[in-house]
Amino acid sequence: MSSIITAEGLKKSYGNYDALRGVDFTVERGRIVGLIGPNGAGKTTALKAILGLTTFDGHLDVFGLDPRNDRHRLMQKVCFIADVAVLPKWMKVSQALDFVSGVHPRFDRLKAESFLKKTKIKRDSKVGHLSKGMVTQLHLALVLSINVELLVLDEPTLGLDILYRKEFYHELLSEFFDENRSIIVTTHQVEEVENLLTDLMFIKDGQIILNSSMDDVSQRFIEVMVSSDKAEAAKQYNPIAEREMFGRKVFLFDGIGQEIAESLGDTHRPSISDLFVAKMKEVVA
Amino acid sequence: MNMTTFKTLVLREYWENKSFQRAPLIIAGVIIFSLIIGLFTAQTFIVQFGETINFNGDFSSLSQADVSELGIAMKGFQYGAFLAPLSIGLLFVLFFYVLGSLYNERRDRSILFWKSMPVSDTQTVLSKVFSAFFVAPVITASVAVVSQFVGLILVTLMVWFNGGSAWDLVWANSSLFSVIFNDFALIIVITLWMAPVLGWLWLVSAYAKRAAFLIAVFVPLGVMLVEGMIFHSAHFAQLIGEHLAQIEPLVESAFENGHPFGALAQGEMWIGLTICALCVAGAIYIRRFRDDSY
Repeated sequence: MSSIITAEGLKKSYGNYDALRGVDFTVERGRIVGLIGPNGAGKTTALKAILGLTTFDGHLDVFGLDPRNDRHRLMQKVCFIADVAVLPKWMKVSQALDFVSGVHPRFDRLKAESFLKKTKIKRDSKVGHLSKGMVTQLHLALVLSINVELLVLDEPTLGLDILYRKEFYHELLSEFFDENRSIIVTTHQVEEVENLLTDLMFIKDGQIILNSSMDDVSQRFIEVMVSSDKAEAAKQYNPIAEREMFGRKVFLFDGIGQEIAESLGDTHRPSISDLFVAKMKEVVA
Repeated sequence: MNMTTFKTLVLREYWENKSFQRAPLIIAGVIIFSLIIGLFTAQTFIVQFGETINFNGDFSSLSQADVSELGIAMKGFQYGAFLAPLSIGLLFVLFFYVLGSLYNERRDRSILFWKSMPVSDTQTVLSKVFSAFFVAPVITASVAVVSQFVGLILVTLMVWFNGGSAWDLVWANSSLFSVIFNDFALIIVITLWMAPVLGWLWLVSAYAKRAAFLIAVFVPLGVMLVEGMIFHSAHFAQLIGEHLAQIEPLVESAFENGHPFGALAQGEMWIGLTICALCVAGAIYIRRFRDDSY
């Protein structure tokens, strides 16, 4: 496995506000990384640094390039969808195709055309006249037809209805992803990406508080449903979260091992959102 | 620099800015419409900067002096009636184009789409500079050529109706090729003359977070006001006023010499272009390193 992104001591401040407080991380080739954090945690700042859209302190290497100086060269290998609304409204669909073919050497126009054939998007419509879902389909058709090695998606499904969201991730997996490509995705809709990710990164207050593969996550974190008489015993193992459900306690443990967990009650894998809530509270306490 | 990329970037400016062709076409349409009304109702033949030559339908009694005057009048007709309003229209189009060119993309966040493509900020900004100094002027000049031609045909028809010789009166005096050449040359030279203003607009366009128009207009006015209050002088206003006033002699020199390139020998032209280049470099720098657009 080779790293495509290496960050060491990555820092970014806006005046007195520290958006990133010296974070270290790597992203390997062929992974789908979920970057999850509350608003203002530094997600977008981290992505902007990776994409060469902002200045920063510290070391950051993306495909061997410094994004600050080489954004346009980096964009040969990286593409991103920032938000559904960024395609220019005045542009016609055919012009969008012409534009990307004209400026991107790795764009496969035929592939994009065949994507668009599956949709109701007309070639001579303007972006401004398309529905939000259609704009996303168009943007996706353009981006997925570019043979890049890393795709960065910042809240890609924001403002989309549920039908498009499902389709969005389905197309992403079936049309884009393979072992040579990587995806970084940030989202508030954690449930949507839960089964998609290979790696999970939690970020809070400019610091990375969890960074591990999904396999490790399911090894390490166990949720146990404990009957109330065993609750005291369970608490000795320092659960990172507890909640009540149907008169029983549900505890979330970090690294206690399967056997101990099973001795306490019914075990199962925690959802990312439960884990997220627990980790966010843990740091505060 | 990759030519396909640059061509695509320029094409993209052309797609977005319909006013490049719409504005001159509307202006030319209005001129031709009023020309038709003027020719066939008032029988007013040629308007030379307000001076009207009335023929009263009698074309046979023209003297030699009248004919040579006619040559000058024809130039006045072609430049004055068509080129002047079209050039002024172009300057308005360029004002709003340049001011919006690095500002609108941040307002509608489409800059994030442009920046997701492997195109450097330098290339992007230079494609806009090229569009302002070359694409828009050439479109306007082409409209000028076509509309002048339509104007000559209308005058021909009018002369025929009145029994005169259209060749002698109109076409022999029209200096057609010189006019066509000067349509392009003059419009481009005038645009280059306006370079320091355009440079300022690019800088504001790249810098302004909001109200780009107000900044572009009121900062220079503010400088004039402050200068007036502190130094009781008006050098800045004078500087701008004199620079703009140079356009008229520039046009006249094109009449006299047959080309407007005398302006290129003036130091003022090159100072203006240098100011523009510095502003554009500043705009590129700002577009590249600012990140309030996300």
